[in-house]
Amino acid sequence: MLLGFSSYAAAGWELYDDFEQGTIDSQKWIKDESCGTISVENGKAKFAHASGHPNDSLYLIFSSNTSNISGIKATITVASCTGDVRTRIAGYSGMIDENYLWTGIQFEPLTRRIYNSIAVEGPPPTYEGLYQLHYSEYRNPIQIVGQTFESQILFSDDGVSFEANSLGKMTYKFSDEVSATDYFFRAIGTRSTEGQGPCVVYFDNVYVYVP
Amino acid sequence: MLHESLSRKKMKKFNIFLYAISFLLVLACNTFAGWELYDDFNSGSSFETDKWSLDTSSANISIENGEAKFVHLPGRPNDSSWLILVKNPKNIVGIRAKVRVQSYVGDVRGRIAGYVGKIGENSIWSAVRVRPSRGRAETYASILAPNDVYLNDLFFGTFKYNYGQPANILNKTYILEWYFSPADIAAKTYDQGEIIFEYEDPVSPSESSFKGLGTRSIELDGACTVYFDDVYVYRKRTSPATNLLLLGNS
Repeated sequence: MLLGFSSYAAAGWELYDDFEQGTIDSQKWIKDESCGTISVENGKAKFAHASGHPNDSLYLIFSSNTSNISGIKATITVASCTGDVRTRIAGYSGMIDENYLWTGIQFEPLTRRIYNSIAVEGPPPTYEGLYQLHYSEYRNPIQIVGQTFESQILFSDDGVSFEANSLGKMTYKFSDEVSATDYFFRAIGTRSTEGQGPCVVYFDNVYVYVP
Repeated sequence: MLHESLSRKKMKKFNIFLYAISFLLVLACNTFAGWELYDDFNSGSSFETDKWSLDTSSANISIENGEAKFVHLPGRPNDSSWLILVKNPKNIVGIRAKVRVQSYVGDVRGRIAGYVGKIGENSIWSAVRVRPSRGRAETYASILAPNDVYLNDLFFGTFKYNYGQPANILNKTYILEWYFSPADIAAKTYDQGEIIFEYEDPVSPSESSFKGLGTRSIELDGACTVYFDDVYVYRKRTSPATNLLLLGNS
Protein backbone atom coordinates (compact mmCIF):
# COMPACT_ATOMS: atom_id res chain seq x y z
CA MET A 1 0.00 0.00 0.00
CA LEU A 2 2.86 2.35 0.74
CA LEU A 3 4.19 1.65 -2.71
CA GLY A 4 0.76 2.49 -4.02
CA PHE A 5 0.79 5.82 -2.29
CA SER A 6 4.35 6.53 -3.40
CA SER A 7 3.68 5.91 -7.05
CA TYR A 8 0.39 7.75 -6.67
CA ALA A 9 2.33 10.75 -5.39
CA ALA A 10 4.96 10.60 -8.10
CA ALA A 11 2.79 11.70 -11.01
CA GLY A 12 -0.34 13.58 -11.83
CA TRP A 13 0.42 16.91 -10.16
CA GLU A 14 -0.68 19.92 -12.19
CA LEU A 15 0.02 23.54 -11.40
CA TYR A 16 -3.30 25.10 -10.46
CA ASP A 17 -2.15 28.63 -9.67
CA ASP A 18 1.13 30.40 -8.97
CA PHE A 19 -0.63 33.79 -8.60
CA GLU A 20 1.74 35.43 -11.08
CA GLN A 21 -1.07 37.18 -12.93
CA GLY A 22 -1.44 39.65 -10.07
CA THR A 23 -5.06 39.08 -9.09
CA ILE A 24 -7.16 36.22 -7.76
CA ASP A 25 -8.37 34.43 -10.89
CA SER A 26 -12.15 34.08 -10.64
CA GLN A 27 -12.04 31.16 -13.08
CA LYS A 28 -10.07 29.20 -10.54
CA TRP A 29 -11.22 30.48 -7.18
CA ILE A 30 -14.25 31.51 -5.20
CA LYS A 31 -13.30 33.99 -2.49
CA ASP A 32 -14.83 33.74 0.98
CA GLU A 33 -13.74 36.94 2.72
CA SER A 34 -16.14 36.76 5.66
CA CYS A 35 -13.37 37.29 8.19
CA GLY A 36 -10.65 39.18 6.34
CA THR A 37 -9.28 39.98 2.92
CA ILE A 38 -7.56 37.97 0.22
CA SER A 39 -5.31 39.62 -2.34
CA VAL A 40 -2.24 38.90 -4.45
CA GLU A 41 1.06 40.37 -3.32
CA ASN A 42 4.41 39.70 -5.02
CA GLY A 43 3.08 36.63 -6.81
CA LYS A 44 1.52 35.06 -3.72
CA ALA A 45 -2.00 34.84 -2.36
CA LYS A 46 -2.14 36.93 0.81
CA PHE A 47 -4.69 36.08 3.49
CA ALA A 48 -5.19 38.82 6.08
CA HIS A 49 -7.33 37.16 8.76
CA ALA A 50 -9.01 39.76 11.01
CA SER A 51 -9.73 39.31 14.72
CA GLY A 52 -13.29 39.19 16.05
CA HIS A 53 -14.66 36.36 13.90
CA PRO A 54 -15.10 33.23 16.00
CA ASN A 55 -15.74 29.94 14.13
CA ASP A 56 -15.23 31.66 10.81
CA SER A 57 -12.97 30.85 7.87
CA LEU A 58 -11.18 32.87 5.22
CA TYR A 59 -11.05 30.77 2.07
CA LEU A 60 -9.96 30.48 -1.50
CA ILE A 61 -12.26 27.71 -2.70
CA PHE A 62 -11.25 25.70 -5.75
CA SER A 63 -13.78 26.25 -8.52
CA SER A 64 -12.27 24.61 -11.59
CA ASN A 65 -12.82 20.85 -12.19
CA THR A 66 -13.06 20.29 -8.45
CA SER A 67 -14.60 16.83 -8.81
CA ASN A 68 -11.36 15.61 -10.40
CA ILE A 69 -9.08 16.84 -7.63
CA SER A 70 -7.75 14.15 -5.33
CA GLY A 71 -4.75 15.98 -3.98
CA ILE A 72 -3.66 19.52 -3.11
CA LYS A 73 -0.14 20.80 -2.64
CA ALA A 74 0.91 24.34 -1.69
CA THR A 75 3.70 26.44 -0.26
CA ILE A 76 2.60 28.12 2.96
CA THR A 77 4.24 30.98 4.83
CA VAL A 78 2.72 32.34 8.03
CA ALA A 79 4.14 35.86 8.11
CA SER A 80 2.60 36.97 11.40
CA CYS A 81 -0.05 35.62 13.71
CA THR A 82 -1.76 36.36 16.99
CA GLY A 83 -4.08 34.01 18.84
CA ASP A 84 -5.66 30.80 17.68
CA VAL A 85 -5.83 31.43 13.93
CA ARG A 86 -4.71 28.39 11.98
CA THR A 87 -3.76 27.98 8.35
CA ARG A 88 -4.93 25.00 6.40
CA ILE A 89 -5.52 23.00 3.27
CA ALA A 90 -8.86 21.27 3.69
CA GLY A 91 -11.85 19.72 2.00
CA TYR A 92 -14.11 16.72 1.71
CA SER A 93 -12.11 13.65 0.74
CA GLY A 94 -14.69 10.86 0.75
CA MET A 95 -17.80 9.40 2.33
CA ILE A 96 -18.63 6.62 4.78
CA ASP A 97 -22.22 5.71 3.99
CA GLU A 98 -24.08 9.05 3.98
CA ASN A 99 -21.45 10.84 6.08
CA TYR A 100 -18.66 13.09 4.85
CA LEU A 101 -14.94 13.02 5.62
CA TRP A 102 -13.71 16.54 6.34
CA THR A 103 -9.97 16.32 5.90
CA GLY A 104 -7.22 18.83 6.47
CA ILE A 105 -3.68 19.70 7.39
CA GLN A 106 -3.39 22.63 9.76
CA PHE A 107 -0.60 24.97 10.85
CA GLU A 108 -1.27 26.47 14.29
CA PRO A 109 1.29 29.03 15.52
CA LEU A 110 -0.34 29.38 18.97
CA THR A 111 0.35 25.75 19.90
CA ARG A 112 3.36 25.52 17.58
CA ARG A 113 1.93 22.41 16.01
CA ILE A 114 1.18 21.09 12.56
CA TYR A 115 -1.58 18.52 12.61
CA ASN A 116 -3.75 16.40 10.34
CA SER A 117 -7.35 15.49 10.86
CA ILE A 118 -10.15 13.48 9.33
CA ALA A 119 -13.50 14.28 10.91
CA VAL A 120 -16.73 12.48 10.10
CA GLU A 121 -19.65 14.83 9.49
CA GLY A 122 -23.30 14.03 9.01
CA PRO A 123 -25.27 14.80 5.86
CA PRO A 124 -26.37 18.29 4.73
CA PRO A 125 -27.63 20.78 5.51
CA THR A 126 -25.92 20.80 8.92
CA TYR A 127 -22.87 18.58 8.35
CA GLU A 128 -22.93 17.93 12.07
CA GLY A 129 -19.62 16.75 13.53
CA LEU A 130 -20.09 13.09 14.49
CA TYR A 131 -16.66 11.80 15.50
CA GLN A 132 -12.96 12.03 14.73
CA LEU A 133 -11.75 9.24 12.48
CA HIS A 134 -8.11 10.24 12.69
CA TYR A 135 -5.89 12.93 14.18
CA SER A 136 -2.11 13.19 14.03
CA GLU A 137 0.65 15.64 14.82
CA TYR A 138 4.16 16.04 13.52
CA ARG A 139 7.20 16.73 15.70
CA ASN A 140 6.48 19.65 18.00
CA PRO A 141 6.75 22.28 19.28
CA ILE A 142 7.86 23.81 16.01
CA GLN A 143 8.39 27.39 14.91
CA ILE A 144 5.70 28.23 12.37
CA VAL A 145 5.67 32.04 12.10
CA GLY A 146 8.31 33.16 9.63
CA GLN A 147 8.83 29.66 8.19
CA THR A 148 7.84 28.34 4.78
CA PHE A 149 6.35 24.85 4.46
CA GLU A 150 5.69 22.69 1.43
CA SER A 151 2.55 20.83 2.35
CA GLN A 152 0.21 18.38 0.67
CA ILE A 153 -2.81 16.13 1.05
CA LEU A 154 -3.56 13.15 -1.19
CA PHE A 155 -6.73 11.14 -0.86
CA SER A 156 -8.26 8.01 -2.32
CA ASP A 157 -10.77 5.40 -1.20
CA ASP A 158 -7.88 3.54 0.50
CA GLY A 159 -6.69 6.37 2.69
CA VAL A 160 -5.30 9.87 3.02
CA SER A 161 -1.65 10.89 3.10
CA PHE A 162 -0.46 14.15 4.61
CA GLU A 163 2.95 15.68 4.20
CA ALA A 164 4.77 18.65 5.68
CA ASN A 165 8.27 19.15 4.39
CA SER A 166 11.15 17.96 6.58
CA LEU A 167 8.72 16.60 9.20
CA GLY A 168 7.75 13.33 7.55
CA LYS A 169 4.69 11.87 5.93
CA MET A 170 1.61 10.54 7.72
CA THR A 171 -0.80 8.15 6.06
CA TYR A 172 -4.12 7.02 7.46
CA LYS A 173 -5.56 3.92 5.80
CA PHE A 174 -9.27 3.32 6.18
CA SER A 175 -10.74 0.15 7.60
CA ASP A 176 -14.21 1.41 6.71
CA GLU A 177 -15.61 1.24 3.20
CA VAL A 178 -15.04 4.72 1.80
CA SER A 179 -16.63 6.01 -1.38
CA ALA A 180 -15.98 9.12 -3.43
CA THR A 181 -17.52 12.29 -2.03
CA ASP A 182 -20.41 13.95 -3.82
CA TYR A 183 -19.54 17.31 -2.29
CA PHE A 184 -16.37 18.71 -3.81
CA PHE A 185 -15.56 21.60 -1.49
CA ARG A 186 -11.77 21.96 -1.34
CA ALA A 187 -10.00 25.09 -0.16
CA ILE A 188 -6.94 26.83 1.21
CA GLY A 189 -7.28 29.39 3.94
CA THR A 190 -7.33 30.37 7.60
CA ARG A 191 -9.74 29.84 10.50
CA SER A 192 -10.17 30.92 14.11
CA THR A 193 -12.29 29.21 16.73
CA GLU A 194 -12.17 31.92 19.40
CA GLY A 195 -12.20 34.88 17.07
CA GLN A 196 -8.62 35.84 17.78
CA GLY A 197 -6.13 37.33 15.35
CA PRO A 198 -4.97 39.07 13.27
CA CYS A 199 -2.91 36.75 11.11
CA VAL A 200 -1.20 37.18 7.75
CA VAL A 201 -0.50 34.09 5.64
CA TYR A 202 0.83 33.63 2.13
CA PHE A 203 0.00 30.70 -0.17
CA ASP A 204 1.92 30.04 -3.36
CA ASN A 205 2.49 27.38 -6.03
CA VAL A 206 -0.78 25.56 -5.59
CA TYR A 207 -0.81 22.19 -7.36
CA VAL A 208 -3.65 19.73 -7.69
CA TYR A 209 -3.46 16.01 -8.21
CA VAL A 210 -5.70 14.80 -11.00
CA PRO A 211 -5.68 11.01 -11.44
CA MET B 1 28.73 -44.36 -19.17
CA LEU B 2 25.10 -44.18 -20.25
CA HIS B 3 24.06 -44.78 -16.69
CA GLU B 4 26.33 -41.96 -15.49
CA SER B 5 24.96 -39.60 -18.14
CA LEU B 6 21.39 -40.40 -17.12
CA SER B 7 22.26 -39.84 -13.47
CA ARG B 8 23.82 -36.51 -14.29
CA LYS B 9 20.70 -35.51 -16.23
CA LYS B 10 18.51 -36.63 -13.37
CA MET B 11 20.68 -34.73 -10.91
CA LYS B 12 20.50 -31.62 -13.08
CA LYS B 13 16.72 -31.87 -13.28
CA PHE B 14 16.58 -32.44 -9.56
CA ASN B 15 18.75 -29.36 -8.93
CA ILE B 16 16.55 -27.24 -11.18
CA PHE B 17 13.51 -28.58 -9.35
CA LEU B 18 15.17 -27.83 -6.00
CA TYR B 19 16.04 -24.27 -7.02
CA ALA B 20 12.53 -23.72 -8.37
CA ILE B 21 10.98 -24.97 -5.14
CA SER B 22 13.35 -22.93 -3.01
CA PHE B 23 12.66 -19.83 -5.12
CA LEU B 24 8.92 -20.31 -4.67
CA LEU B 25 9.39 -20.88 -0.94
CA VAL B 26 11.46 -17.74 -0.60
CA LEU B 27 8.92 -15.82 -2.65
CA ALA B 28 6.10 -17.15 -0.51
CA CYS B 29 7.93 -16.35 2.73
CA ASN B 30 8.68 -12.82 1.67
CA THR B 31 5.25 -12.14 0.30
CA PHE B 32 2.85 -13.76 2.68
CA ALA B 33 4.56 -15.00 5.79
CA GLY B 34 6.53 -13.36 8.52
CA TRP B 35 4.05 -13.29 11.38
CA GLU B 36 4.57 -16.13 13.80
CA LEU B 37 2.73 -16.99 17.00
CA TYR B 38 4.91 -16.01 19.94
CA ASP B 39 2.60 -16.90 22.81
CA ASP B 40 -1.09 -17.55 23.31
CA PHE B 41 -0.59 -18.09 27.07
CA ASN B 42 -2.22 -21.51 26.90
CA SER B 43 0.78 -23.49 28.11
CA GLY B 44 0.02 -23.24 31.81
CA SER B 45 -0.26 -20.92 34.73
CA SER B 46 3.22 -19.42 34.55
CA PHE B 47 5.08 -17.45 31.91
CA GLU B 48 7.62 -19.31 29.81
CA THR B 49 11.01 -17.94 30.80
CA ASP B 50 12.52 -18.44 27.36
CA LYS B 51 9.90 -16.04 25.99
CA TRP B 52 9.33 -13.45 28.67
CA SER B 53 11.08 -11.42 31.29
CA LEU B 54 8.75 -9.77 33.80
CA ASP B 55 8.93 -6.23 35.19
CA THR B 56 6.34 -6.09 37.96
CA SER B 57 7.36 -2.79 39.50
CA SER B 58 3.90 -1.29 39.06
CA ALA B 59 1.63 -4.24 38.27
CA ASN B 60 0.86 -7.79 39.21
CA ILE B 61 1.21 -9.93 36.09
CA SER B 62 -0.25 -13.41 35.82
CA ILE B 63 -1.88 -15.83 33.42
CA GLU B 64 -5.64 -16.20 33.73
CA ASN B 65 -7.80 -18.32 31.44
CA GLY B 66 -5.20 -18.33 28.69
CA GLU B 67 -4.55 -14.58 28.75
CA ALA B 68 -1.79 -12.46 30.27
CA LYS B 69 -3.35 -10.32 32.99
CA PHE B 70 -1.88 -7.03 34.22
CA VAL B 71 -3.34 -5.49 37.36
CA HIS B 72 -1.71 -2.07 37.38
CA LEU B 73 -1.41 -0.80 40.94
CA PRO B 74 -2.34 2.70 42.09
CA GLY B 75 0.31 5.16 43.25
CA ARG B 76 3.03 4.35 40.69
CA PRO B 77 3.48 7.56 38.68
CA ASN B 78 5.72 7.28 35.61
CA ASP B 79 6.26 3.61 36.23
CA SER B 80 5.79 0.84 33.68
CA SER B 81 5.25 -2.85 34.05
CA TRP B 82 6.27 -5.18 31.30
CA LEU B 83 6.23 -8.55 29.72
CA ILE B 84 9.52 -8.16 27.87
CA LEU B 85 10.07 -10.31 24.78
CA VAL B 86 13.35 -12.18 25.26
CA LYS B 87 13.28 -14.84 22.52
CA ASN B 88 15.55 -13.44 19.80
CA PRO B 89 14.17 -9.93 20.25
CA LYS B 90 16.87 -8.40 18.07
CA ASN B 91 15.22 -9.56 14.85
CA ILE B 92 11.64 -8.71 15.87
CA VAL B 93 10.33 -5.88 13.71
CA GLY B 94 6.63 -6.23 14.42
CA ILE B 95 4.31 -7.28 17.22
CA ARG B 96 0.61 -8.03 17.08
CA ALA B 97 -1.54 -8.72 20.13
CA LYS B 98 -5.07 -8.64 21.44
CA VAL B 99 -5.47 -6.00 24.14
CA ARG B 100 -8.53 -5.65 26.35
CA VAL B 101 -9.02 -3.25 29.26
CA GLN B 102 -11.36 -4.74 31.81
CA SER B 103 -11.38 -1.85 34.29
CA TYR B 104 -9.47 1.37 34.90
CA VAL B 105 -9.02 4.38 37.14
CA GLY B 106 -7.27 7.49 35.82
CA ASP B 107 -5.05 7.46 32.77
CA VAL B 108 -3.44 4.01 32.82
CA ARG B 109 -2.91 2.59 29.36
CA GLY B 110 -2.08 -0.84 27.89
CA ARG B 111 0.53 -0.90 25.18
CA ILE B 112 2.96 -2.59 22.84
CA ALA B 113 6.21 -0.64 22.76
CA GLY B 114 9.94 -0.67 22.21
CA TYR B 115 12.96 0.90 20.58
CA VAL B 116 12.67 1.04 16.80
CA GLY B 117 15.82 2.82 15.65
CA LYS B 118 18.12 5.79 16.06
CA ILE B 119 18.34 9.23 14.52
CA GLY B 120 21.91 10.35 15.03
CA GLU B 121 22.82 9.46 18.60
CA ASN B 122 19.21 9.66 19.83
CA SER B 123 16.89 6.69 20.21
CA ILE B 124 13.40 6.36 18.77
CA TRP B 125 10.88 4.88 21.20
CA SER B 126 7.50 3.95 19.76
CA ALA B 127 4.24 2.44 20.94
CA VAL B 128 0.69 1.60 20.02
CA ARG B 129 -1.63 1.67 22.98
CA VAL B 130 -5.17 1.54 24.24
CA ARG B 131 -6.10 4.51 26.41
CA PRO B 132 -9.45 3.98 28.15
CA SER B 133 -9.58 7.47 29.67
CA ARG B 134 -9.73 8.88 26.12
CA GLY B 135 -11.81 6.03 24.74
CA ARG B 136 -9.42 5.31 21.90
CA ALA B 137 -6.26 3.71 20.60
CA GLU B 138 -3.19 5.85 19.91
CA THR B 139 0.30 5.55 18.50
CA TYR B 140 3.42 7.68 18.72
CA ALA B 141 7.19 7.78 18.44
CA SER B 142 9.40 9.85 20.72
CA ILE B 143 13.00 10.94 20.45
CA LEU B 144 15.11 10.13 23.50
CA ALA B 145 18.59 11.46 24.24
CA PRO B 146 21.37 8.88 24.90
CA ASN B 147 20.53 8.93 28.62
CA ASP B 148 16.89 8.10 27.73
CA VAL B 149 15.73 11.64 28.50
CA TYR B 150 12.64 12.56 26.50
CA LEU B 151 13.33 15.25 23.90
CA ASN B 152 10.16 15.42 21.79
CA ASP B 153 7.58 13.42 19.91
CA LEU B 154 8.41 12.55 16.34
CA PHE B 155 4.73 12.03 15.69
CA PHE B 156 1.53 11.27 17.55
CA GLY B 157 -1.62 9.80 16.06
CA THR B 158 -5.03 8.66 17.17
CA PHE B 159 -7.57 6.25 15.83
CA LYS B 160 -11.32 6.91 16.00
CA TYR B 161 -12.64 8.85 19.00
CA ASN B 162 -15.77 10.66 20.07
CA TYR B 163 -16.15 14.37 20.65
CA GLY B 164 -16.99 15.22 24.25
CA GLN B 165 -17.58 12.15 26.40
CA PRO B 166 -15.02 9.44 25.54
CA ALA B 167 -16.39 6.15 24.27
CA ASN B 168 -16.63 3.30 26.76
CA ILE B 169 -14.04 0.82 25.52
CA LEU B 170 -14.07 -1.47 28.55
CA ASN B 171 -13.93 -5.10 27.46
CA LYS B 172 -13.55 -4.15 23.81
CA THR B 173 -10.84 -6.36 22.33
CA TYR B 174 -8.44 -4.37 20.19
CA ILE B 175 -6.15 -6.27 17.84
CA LEU B 176 -3.15 -3.95 17.79
CA GLU B 177 -0.39 -4.38 15.25
CA TRP B 178 2.88 -2.48 15.30
CA TYR B 179 5.55 -2.72 12.64
CA PHE B 180 8.72 -0.76 12.03
CA SER B 181 11.56 -0.47 9.53
CA PRO B 182 14.29 2.10 8.80
CA ALA B 183 11.77 3.81 6.50
CA ASP B 184 8.58 3.90 8.56
CA ILE B 185 6.50 2.95 11.58
CA ALA B 186 3.03 1.49 11.11
CA ALA B 187 0.36 0.96 13.76
CA LYS B 188 -2.89 -0.77 13.00
CA THR B 189 -6.12 -1.56 14.76
CA TYR B 190 -8.09 -4.18 12.93
CA ASP B 191 -11.36 -2.25 12.83
CA GLN B 192 -10.18 1.36 13.01
CA GLY B 193 -7.59 1.72 10.28
CA GLU B 194 -3.84 2.06 10.10
CA ILE B 195 -1.47 4.97 10.75
CA ILE B 196 1.87 5.04 8.95
CA PHE B 197 4.64 7.52 9.63
CA GLU B 198 7.44 7.79 7.08
CA TYR B 199 10.70 9.34 8.28
CA GLU B 200 12.42 12.25 6.63
CA ASP B 201 15.61 11.63 8.61
CA PRO B 202 17.98 8.70 8.03
CA VAL B 203 17.32 6.03 10.66
CA SER B 204 19.87 3.46 11.87
CA PRO B 205 19.18 0.26 13.85
CA SER B 206 18.58 0.53 17.56
CA GLU B 207 21.23 -0.75 19.94
CA SER B 208 18.54 -1.81 22.37
CA SER B 209 16.33 -4.74 21.43
CA PHE B 210 13.82 -3.97 24.20
CA LYS B 211 10.25 -4.66 23.13
CA GLY B 212 7.41 -5.36 25.47
CA LEU B 213 3.74 -5.48 26.32
CA GLY B 214 2.62 -3.63 29.38
CA THR B 215 0.87 -0.93 31.34
CA ARG B 216 1.85 2.55 32.44
CA SER B 217 0.45 5.53 34.25
CA ILE B 218 1.74 9.08 34.32
CA GLU B 219 -0.04 10.35 37.41
CA LEU B 220 -0.93 8.46 40.60
CA ASP B 221 -3.45 6.47 38.60
CA GLY B 222 -4.76 2.96 39.01
CA ALA B 223 -5.89 0.38 39.52
CA CYS B 224 -6.31 -0.90 36.00
CA THR B 225 -6.78 -4.43 34.68
CA VAL B 226 -5.59 -5.17 31.16
CA TYR B 227 -5.46 -8.49 29.32
CA PHE B 228 -3.12 -9.41 26.47
CA ASP B 229 -3.49 -12.47 24.29
CA ASP B 230 -2.42 -14.09 21.01
CA VAL B 231 0.93 -12.38 20.68
CA TYR B 232 2.48 -12.67 17.23
CA VAL B 233 5.85 -11.35 16.13
CA TYR B 234 7.20 -10.42 12.74
CA ARG B 235 10.87 -11.20 12.36
CA LYS B 236 13.39 -9.77 9.96
CA ARG B 237 14.14 -12.33 7.30
CA THR B 238 17.37 -13.12 5.53
CA SER B 239 17.39 -11.91 1.95
CA PRO B 240 16.26 -14.31 -0.84
CA ALA B 241 19.81 -14.31 -2.25
CA THR B 242 21.21 -15.39 1.11
CA ASN B 243 18.60 -18.14 1.39
CA LEU B 244 19.49 -19.53 -2.03
CA LEU B 245 23.20 -19.46 -1.24
CA LEU B 246 22.57 -21.31 2.01
CA LEU B 247 20.46 -23.87 0.17
CA GLY B 248 23.06 -24.29 -2.56
CA ASN B 249 25.77 -24.96 0.00
CA SER B 250 23.77 -27.49 1.94
